[in-house]
Amino acid sequence: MSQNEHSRFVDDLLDASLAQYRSVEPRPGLENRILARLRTEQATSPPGWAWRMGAGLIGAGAILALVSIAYRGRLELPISPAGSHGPAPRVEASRNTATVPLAQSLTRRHKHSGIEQSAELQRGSADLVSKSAAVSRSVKTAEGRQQRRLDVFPSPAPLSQEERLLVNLVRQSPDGAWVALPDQGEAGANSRVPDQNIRPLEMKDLSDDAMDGTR
Amino acid sequence: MFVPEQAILSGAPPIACTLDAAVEEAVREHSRAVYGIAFSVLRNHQDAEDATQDAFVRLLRYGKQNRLTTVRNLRAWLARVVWRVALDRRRAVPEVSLQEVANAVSGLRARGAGVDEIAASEQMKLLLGRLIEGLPRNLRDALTLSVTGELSSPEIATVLGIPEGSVRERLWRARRMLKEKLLAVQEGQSRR
Repeated sequence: MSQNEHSRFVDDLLDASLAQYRSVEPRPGLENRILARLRTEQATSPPGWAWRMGAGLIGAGAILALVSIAYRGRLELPISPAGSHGPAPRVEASRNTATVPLAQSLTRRHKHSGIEQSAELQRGSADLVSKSAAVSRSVKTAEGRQQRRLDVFPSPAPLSQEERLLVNLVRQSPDGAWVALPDQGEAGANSRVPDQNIRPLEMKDLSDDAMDGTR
Repeated sequence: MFVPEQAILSGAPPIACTLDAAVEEAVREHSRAVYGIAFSVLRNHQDAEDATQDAFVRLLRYGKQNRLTTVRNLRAWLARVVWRVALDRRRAVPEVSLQEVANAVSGLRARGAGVDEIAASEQMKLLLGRLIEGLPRNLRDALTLSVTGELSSPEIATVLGIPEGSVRERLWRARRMLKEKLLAVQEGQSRR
């Protein structure tokens, strides 16, 4: 058999084989079996509107859940009081800064005597008056803020009665305020350093002759 | 559910079980073609029938969703569905010795059998199936859909999602490759 005849034989065989390959007859009753299966499927499965309604309910439920979660999260956010952009003023600290220097300065000034003491006491009393005014202003301001914002912690406290009396005393008689301080007695007097008359150092004291004398 | 007495007595299906006329018509018109496509992939009657039923069940569900009106070519749509169902159901092809089937075909030819007799033999079907399995995937898919004889080139193109020109080109290449393989088998047998 020549090459061409062999090629033609293979061509024919391939065509015939492919034709045989496709010729498939289904078993009898294929349509009836398919229709019976479809009827069973239709009877058992829910109708189309049920699918759509179920899908709609699921979608609505999901949206409701998302909205409720978002709303709850919004409620749980901390609510800052109106007008509070910073920490509340601490009156306690400003009161201390006013009263502690007052006692310290009075104690310190009691150690001095004469005109120096009086002058210094006057300056200190003026200082105290201005500081007490600042304290009272801050207290008033704090009270006003406390009335507006009751949720500030710790709540600012006003001056105690002793502190008010002390401030009034300094305000009325600044010169005699030091009398109110407790007397420290002899120990206080002895603790004063006596004035020493020391001559200031001059250049001639640093000359070689003067230094030789010391050697 | 209300079932008319006449329907029960006549043996007709209840009202709730009556199918949509479009679905029933599709079954009567396309079931053989759908079955042929399924069989070309699965090469088994039982599996092919199961795949055919699954394809029509999907059509029924599609109709329940009122989406059947969007289908332009129902035949191509069913072909595409059953093609995918069959590929999902496809099992490993039983291994057949190429040498044995080639020997059997050569024996038929040596005994003077004609082309039709050889082509109709079980050995030649096994040999052809083995050769088609050895083709590249893109060529094999086009040839498998073509040998069913149920689908035109545009419909095959729709099923595979490729241009119609590509379908023709693949079919030509697949046939040429099958011929080369068959020639090689024949020559190998003649050398012995």
